[in-house]
Amino acid sequence: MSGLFDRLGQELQAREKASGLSMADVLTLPDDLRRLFNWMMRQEEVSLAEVAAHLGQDEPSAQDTLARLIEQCFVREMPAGRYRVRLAPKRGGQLPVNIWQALDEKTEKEEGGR
Amino acid sequence: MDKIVSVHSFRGGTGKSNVTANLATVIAGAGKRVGVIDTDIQSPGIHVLFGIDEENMDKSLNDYLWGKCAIEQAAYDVSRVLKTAAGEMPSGTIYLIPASLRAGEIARVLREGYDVNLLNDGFRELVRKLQLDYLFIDTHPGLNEETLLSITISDVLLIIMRPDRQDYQGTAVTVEVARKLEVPELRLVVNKALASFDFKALKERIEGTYGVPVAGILAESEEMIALGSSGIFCLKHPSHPLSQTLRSIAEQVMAA
Repeated sequence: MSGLFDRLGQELQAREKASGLSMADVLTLPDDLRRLFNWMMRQEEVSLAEVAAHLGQDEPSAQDTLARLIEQCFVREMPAGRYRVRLAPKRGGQLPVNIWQALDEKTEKEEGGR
Repeated sequence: MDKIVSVHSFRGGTGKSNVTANLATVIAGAGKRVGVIDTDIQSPGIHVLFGIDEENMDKSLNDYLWGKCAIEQAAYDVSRVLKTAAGEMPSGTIYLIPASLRAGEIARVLREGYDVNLLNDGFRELVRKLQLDYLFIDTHPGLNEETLLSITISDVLLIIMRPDRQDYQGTAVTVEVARKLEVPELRLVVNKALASFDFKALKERIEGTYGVPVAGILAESEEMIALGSSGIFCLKHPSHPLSQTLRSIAEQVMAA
């Protein structure tokens, strides 16, 4: 039973890691959203009041915007009512497996020889 | 107030790491606390200029990205490079955060990727933990995730280009991206210009083309080639015109 929960946990963790906004995505966003992300990235973390001020909205409207961005996994809610941009992990390369294996064997040999 | 300075070029071989190391050294020589982080994980190189090699590199940026250490544990105090020819030691400090030189570790990053949020946090942590005045980010040429991240969070972006048609086109792309990412201070640095060029006319032409100030034009230099990345040029040749231009660019970075 614990194996099933472990696998479920790993699956959820993998999904968690796969989500987020890539920096390349930021470049393709509509101007207002891109400006919001640029600003949030520079601030590191922001409060609801700061987002509202930045967007020129009242707090309920800003809260609604943030809720949608959280739902899309573009923003993460932090403790104490702070928010930050959620960046997608950088994916590994798509080289054929045999190239990686050959590289592994070579580097293991090199490191073993040290 | 601390500043994050990214040094980028669209193409390789522009002398980006050399310019980064020299600017960081000049600013540290002015008594500042400076960090230099090598985010060129695929092809690291700036460590050579600071006299670090695989033998004396215990932890690297790769270890931090894999959760094996805190970012400041991958920082090496390389302030010894600041020692002048007269043996004087300026009051500044310079730290280097190298990327791993081990083939297996480079392959692992290429194969598995990494958490970009960690890299972002690492930049901020470095500034805080090492109490840095300036953090220089040496980037991988071209546009990729870490380059775009470092451009986005930078206070100052220096784009290095050579007077070469391929660089002209690539720089146009980078300038467009930097504008989209709203970098507060954007400057161009022209490197490896032939001494026979009319620098004033070149500066005016480039500034007219991109609408971005040129912080300095560095001439191709025999002394720089002879040094072959075995040291920091402006410390080895403090009176050389190239060193004077590098100091002028460093002053503009500090004033930005």
